[in-house]
Amino acid sequence: MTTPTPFAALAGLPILKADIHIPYYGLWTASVHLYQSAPIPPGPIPLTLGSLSLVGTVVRAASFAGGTSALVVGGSGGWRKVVTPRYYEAPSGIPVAMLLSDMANEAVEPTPVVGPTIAPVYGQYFARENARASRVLAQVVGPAWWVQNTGVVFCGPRTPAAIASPFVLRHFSGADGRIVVASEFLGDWVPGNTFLGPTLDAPRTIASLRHVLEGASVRTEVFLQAS
Amino acid sequence: MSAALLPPPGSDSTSTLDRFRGALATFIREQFPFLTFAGAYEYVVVSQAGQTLSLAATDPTLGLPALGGKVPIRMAAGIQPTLPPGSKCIVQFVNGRPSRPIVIAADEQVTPTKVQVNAIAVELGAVVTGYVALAAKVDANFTTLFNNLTSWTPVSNDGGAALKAVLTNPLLGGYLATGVKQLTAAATVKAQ
Repeated sequence: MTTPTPFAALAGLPILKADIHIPYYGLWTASVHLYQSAPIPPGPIPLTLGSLSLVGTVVRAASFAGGTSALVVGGSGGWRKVVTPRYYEAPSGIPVAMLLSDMANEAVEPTPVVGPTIAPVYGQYFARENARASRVLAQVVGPAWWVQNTGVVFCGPRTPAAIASPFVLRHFSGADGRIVVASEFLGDWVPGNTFLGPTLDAPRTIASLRHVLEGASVRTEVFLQAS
Repeated sequence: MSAALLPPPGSDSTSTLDRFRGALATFIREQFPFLTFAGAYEYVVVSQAGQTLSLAATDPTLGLPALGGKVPIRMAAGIQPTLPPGSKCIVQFVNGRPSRPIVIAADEQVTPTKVQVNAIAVELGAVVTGYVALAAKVDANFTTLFNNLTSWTPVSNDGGAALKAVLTNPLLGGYLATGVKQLTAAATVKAQ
């Protein structure tokens, strides 16, 4: 007899409550409460919520009253690390891939994937300051970077897609530009994607969202892009 | 605005003493990734190659790297100084970008090894009156004159005619003849 896979788990440990925030750009974060008081493995670990599977790292955790709560960030937790100052110079321009590779190595993160909108060559000079890797990353590729489900950063805009899977619209606040949906296909709900339901007058685009697991239910709170 | 207003991570003890203050400071810093490069920073000249400098930072707490390559000197148009190692200078980043460091000024208390001025006309003084003379051209004229005078053979009772012939005949290197005497004026530099 095999142990059933929990609907929500962090490194295989069943999750009691979770609040996963996925911004349009930057790192996703998750506040997770486990059923049990258990040590959480270091390094990149899987965070699953139904069909959604992410790779992140615990940056803060504590056990209390028989449970464990943890803050998880997308990737290896390295983009919050401070990189050392360094100077680059190349008459024909510095390859962006080299800047990112050096930065990722120092931050102990996988080298980011560079999208087609990012010029492959930086300027002739680059003065890397003593700052968080995420800040330096923005200096090299701009603000448009985000963590893929695999935990690897992608540099460039998100590729929008229309959500075709079924969902139930539970709440729509026009004042807040916020909706709440229930879906069995949480992986489809990512910033940049669009959706249209029978009770919506026009397609909407996801700006950012939260997947909230409480008890036996998951609700997805979507913040809409300004129209 | 300099980076000192928002110190690098780890250097601000309030970030660890007060989590919310630290988080707010981090958030603000992340919103302005190029803020550091809006400042002007003091560096020390390590070496110079042409009009580029290799520089070391004077204040490591600011979190900027040594600019150990060839940072362009971009002072006033036409001004090309040669700065001795150890002299201080000011670095700025054009448009606040880490990809464009330039040296905009040098310490006024350090005497440059050389300052080259490149311009179509250079004027020294409030009211210039003419071009300055070039030493090489003046020296050439004096040399010609000296050679003529020392090579001249006096002729008795000619009233100075032989001397005049030497000084005025171009074929003899005559100093006073038109086209032989060199102009001594500089081409670009006028002075008061």
